[in-house]
Amino acid sequence: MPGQGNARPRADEELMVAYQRGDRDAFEELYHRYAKPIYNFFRRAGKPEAAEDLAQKTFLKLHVGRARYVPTGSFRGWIFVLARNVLRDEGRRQARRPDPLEEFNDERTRWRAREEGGKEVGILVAEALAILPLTQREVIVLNRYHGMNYAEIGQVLRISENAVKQRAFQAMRKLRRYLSAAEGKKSAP
Amino acid sequence: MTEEDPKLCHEIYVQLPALVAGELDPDARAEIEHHLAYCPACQFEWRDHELVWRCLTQCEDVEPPETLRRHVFEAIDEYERTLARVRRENS
Repeated sequence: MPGQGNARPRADEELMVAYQRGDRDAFEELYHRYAKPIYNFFRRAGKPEAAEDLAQKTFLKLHVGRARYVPTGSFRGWIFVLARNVLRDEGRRQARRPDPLEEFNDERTRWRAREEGGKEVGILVAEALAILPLTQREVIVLNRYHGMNYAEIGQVLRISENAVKQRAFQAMRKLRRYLSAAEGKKSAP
Repeated sequence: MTEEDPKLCHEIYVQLPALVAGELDPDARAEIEHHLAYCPACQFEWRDHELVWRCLTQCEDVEPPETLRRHVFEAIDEYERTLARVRRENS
């Protein structure tokens, strides 16, 4: 595997430049590093059932668009821009279907049906994330699960840092309401 | 300073998501922490934010399916084959 035996593992950006030159091992290593984060991004920000398909599309986009990669910014930011575009395309595709809301509700029903007995916190959180609008959900997912700060998220989503902050505020308010209600506690203001 | 100042409390409240996410600069953080030290209403809000933030960690990462890698490489190979065919047809 590339990087093994060297004193310093190659940075993502170096690997991507190597892949632009045709180094397939470099792509293997990038896949190894990012398959899990990208897959989990779609699990939480998109539709769990479609996560594998959407992750595959993201890596294909990376391959198709590899010549356009410029190593001035972080590779991580770039691949999440690709993932986010895949998610947007999927959202538009879904919107053209006859009754996307019905499908969404069916999906949530199936999601709920998996649980037996009391709801585990993980399931509640997944449900809570699912009710957020995509614009708010992706902010929380990138921040909480992928360790991106507001400035990085702003670059990925192409919005201002202040807009990220605003979306995070709205998302947290909805998450609190949902989780509080689910726990039978007094709803947050 | 009184315990509750609705205007100030609202200003604090809107900053709590950024505080819990570690997104505030030290000055802003210190200002909020100072307020939280004496305002029970905002303390309540803050504890709620912390709880939600901790709950979010319960939705853990999972490994992608083993089929993903194969599907990615198959999709790339298929794309390359299609590209080569189109180029041949156009040449």
